[in-house]
Amino acid sequence: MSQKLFSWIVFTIIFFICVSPVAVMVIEAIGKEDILIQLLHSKESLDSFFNSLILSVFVSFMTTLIGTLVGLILGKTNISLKKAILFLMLIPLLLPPYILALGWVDMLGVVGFFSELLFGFLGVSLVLFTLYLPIPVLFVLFYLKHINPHLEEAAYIYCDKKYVLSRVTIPLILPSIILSFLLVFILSFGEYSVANVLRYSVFPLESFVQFSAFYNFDGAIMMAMPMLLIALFVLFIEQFYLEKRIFKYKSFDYIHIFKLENNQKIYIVAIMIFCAFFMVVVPFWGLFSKIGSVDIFLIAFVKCLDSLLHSLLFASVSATILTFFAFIAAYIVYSKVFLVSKLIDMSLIFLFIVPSTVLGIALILFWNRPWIDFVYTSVLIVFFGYFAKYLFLGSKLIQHRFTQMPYSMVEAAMIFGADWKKILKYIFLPASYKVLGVVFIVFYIFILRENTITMLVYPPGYETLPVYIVTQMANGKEEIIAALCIIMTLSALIPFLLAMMLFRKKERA
Amino acid sequence: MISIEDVYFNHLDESKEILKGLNLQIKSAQRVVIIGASGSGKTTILRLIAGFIAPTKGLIKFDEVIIAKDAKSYLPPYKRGISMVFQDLALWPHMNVEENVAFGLKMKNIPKNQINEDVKRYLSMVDLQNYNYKRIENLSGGEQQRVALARALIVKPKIVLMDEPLSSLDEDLNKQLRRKIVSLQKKLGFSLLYVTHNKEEAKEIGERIIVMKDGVIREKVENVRL
Repeated sequence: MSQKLFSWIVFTIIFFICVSPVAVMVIEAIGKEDILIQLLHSKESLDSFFNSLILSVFVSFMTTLIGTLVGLILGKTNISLKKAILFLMLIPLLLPPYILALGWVDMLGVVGFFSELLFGFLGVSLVLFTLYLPIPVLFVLFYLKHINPHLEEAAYIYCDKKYVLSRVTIPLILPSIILSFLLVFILSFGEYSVANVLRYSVFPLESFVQFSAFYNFDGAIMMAMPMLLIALFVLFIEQFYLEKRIFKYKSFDYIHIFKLENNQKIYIVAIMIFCAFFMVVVPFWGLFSKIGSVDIFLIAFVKCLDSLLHSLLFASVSATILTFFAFIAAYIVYSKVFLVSKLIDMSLIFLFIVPSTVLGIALILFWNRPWIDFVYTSVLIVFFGYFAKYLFLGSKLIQHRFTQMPYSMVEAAMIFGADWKKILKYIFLPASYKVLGVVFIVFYIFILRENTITMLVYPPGYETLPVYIVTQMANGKEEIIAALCIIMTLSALIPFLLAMMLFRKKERA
Repeated sequence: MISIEDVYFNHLDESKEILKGLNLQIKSAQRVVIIGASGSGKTTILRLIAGFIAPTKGLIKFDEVIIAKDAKSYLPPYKRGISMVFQDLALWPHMNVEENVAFGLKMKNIPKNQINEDVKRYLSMVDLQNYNYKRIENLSGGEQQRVALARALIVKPKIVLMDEPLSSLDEDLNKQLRRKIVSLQKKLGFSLLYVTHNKEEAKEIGERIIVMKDGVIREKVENVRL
């Protein structure tokens, strides 16, 4: 089989499973504009749309600003405790978003001055800020590693470090800053579970409510359309503006570090640890204080055992299959096969930035029909949801690994007559073992924490732990919910920590 | 004059000494070439003089003023009156040719019309008239090399450090540019410290040639051909 044919088969699979449901949803929406107009005429819907818009602009602006600063401090200075600070900041991203919100509610209660602040714009902003802060931090750290240190040293000959940062370092990583702004914008626009806990009206919740509370499928589809348009707009910017502006850098032996004085280092580390502690540890303290005793924890554990097992099973099986597909997709995109590579790349980015509510509704609409409803009635639909949403993440990580490999390795294999399959098997696969491990962990964590798509599409009897916690929020005891949140946190953190230790051990070896 | 006295250097995380008791003087308007195999410590000397690193032990003086001594650097790179041409040229890809060349003058707050004049003059000096608005990625290797040269010279440095700047060019272009470098040095009168592993290049450029091996100077030669 030729590489071109293989690439088109892979694209067809991705298109059929993931893209066509969204396409069908758009087709279904045509001619029903009056429903959207009618829905948007209601003050609540319009308010929630503007709430979402202002919230996501504010959150993305703040996270990008502070995240860039934190990324520059962690990546470019000689402060200590960098890894500990980064790890603390990363924790919220590894968990279902509503856990932090629940933690704050448990910490501040539901009455009083601080609680009034929490249940509204400020509270939702704080939680979403904490949740998405690691995105610009990781983007900045990643791109800083790929800046040729000589570019900064060449500027340091003419100006001081502040100018080096503002004239050379920041302009070089600017496309990645813009990219992280867009990503945070789209993620916060599509996120509703935090707002749901903190009783703040946001637009994705409208679509979700139309579907799950009113069983108004047309309404849900039409409410998804504005979100889809925003996702398309972001895709357009990424593909036609940013992609050309991200300079292709190699990895370098060292990073140009700006050395700080000892007292500066102490102040900066103290401020960062205080902020990370306030944003991450305080809400968890709220959850712990609500649990009270070990008995409650054990009761919660017994109650959630089935859903926990579903979560672990879904996460491990899906992560394994997704890692395989991500490797294949990355190879096709990297190989730049005419048209199909671009189509796959664009499809994966688009599916990643489409809000989960929209994706969930699209999957139901597409797969809940005669002949193919075996998907809708089985866990396959849950898997398809994860496949659509997260394949992009793994594919991008693996593509990055491929671009680090000298192309002469491929050419050397070609001279000996290796075709594309053998090159994939003997050159790319062995060179990617480590990154495949990382990709598996990324998939595992993101699938484990996923709640929106699963909530919409899971078949009866297969609820996952994040979904179980959401259902408990309606009428469960507060202390049990708090205990469930801690179990969820541990089930995400333990494999993450184990993986980190394993990679570190291998690196040292 | 630059004076390097009994300088030792090793990286913090490595025990291996890269420089072992180095002594070297560079007089003003002199062309000194350091030649040696990979890992002999050539580039480290340039980075010490530039101020990117400080000697683990020993001292560096500029015109009898100590600027770095025993792991401490007293003068940052931008106050040393130096320029550098890197092996990979280190041209900023987010700036065009003019912006790259004008950067050093902008940082010195030189008036804009003066900057424009100087950029024009130095670009013509390296035969790159009308290249002002070209993007770096659209230039050939030789053109990029000349932009790096103009960028280094426009600030009228007392000393220019060059780290194998011609190593990626073909033989003809290499010869052409090394002549250009010598003629510019004679015309502008800066000191030149040039690192290479190419003997031909060293003979053509250097008034003094220093041979390095394993962090020490093995030989100092006054270039009789010049």
